[in-house]
Amino acid sequence: MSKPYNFDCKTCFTLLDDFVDRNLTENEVQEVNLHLEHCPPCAKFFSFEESVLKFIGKRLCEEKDVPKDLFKKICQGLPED
Amino acid sequence: MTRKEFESNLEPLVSRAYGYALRLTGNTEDAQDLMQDATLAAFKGRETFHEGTNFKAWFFKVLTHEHYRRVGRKHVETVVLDDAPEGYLYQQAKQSGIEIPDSANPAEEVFDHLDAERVDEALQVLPTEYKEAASLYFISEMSYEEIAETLEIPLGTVRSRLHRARRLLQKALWDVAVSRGLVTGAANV
Repeated sequence: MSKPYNFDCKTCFTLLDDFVDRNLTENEVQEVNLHLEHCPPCAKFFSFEESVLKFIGKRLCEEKDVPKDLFKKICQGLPED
Repeated sequence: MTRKEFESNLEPLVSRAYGYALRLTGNTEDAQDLMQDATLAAFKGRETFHEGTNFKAWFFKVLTHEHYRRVGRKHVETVVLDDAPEGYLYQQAKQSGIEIPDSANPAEEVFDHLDAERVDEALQVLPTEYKEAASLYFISEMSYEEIAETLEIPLGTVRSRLHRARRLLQKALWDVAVSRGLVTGAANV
């Protein structure tokens, strides 16, 4: 019996980055999603990889406080029109 | 563009631009100086910005150029890091016996103990070209197109640079976690 999807694990693996960045065509997204619906190990891996990106982005954005009055300070030195 | 218009365009970007400047310079004092110099350079060169195009990418490009002017030259990265395979954190976590939960944010649960400072430490390990691309992606939340415009590189280079940056960042994160005793290191893959 043939598998209910066209993309195998390896193909999906190579498309991982573009998939999480929404850089695939609509057809490719459908094929990857179809594979993930039928392949729990890949689904778990993709979910983890997406969450790693979210985690990194969240952490990197929360770390540094912008100095108070930075905008005012950097604009103070601008010449008048 | 009048000064008022320039400031209106700039104000919403300051937080993310500062975050990027901080990763380029590595410290708050230089980051603030870089922001000041870049703002002045952008204002003086504002005729190079074309109305209707992307002010954010244009300003970040000026900021990047200003950084290179300050450090003396375009830094050509010669550091070679060991590459890491796709899914490095996933594989290492599994090999270390860490249970990966079936939840909405499994990575956050597994690596919750890696705080912002540790993640930033991992980012700083990356060679400059990868750190730049990763900073623009994660901190400045830029699209591939905006990163290409900011760094003046082709879209395909952005794609390959980001993909490698992510692999390297995963490896660096794991190394930080192991070195800090936050996880027990598994055998290298």
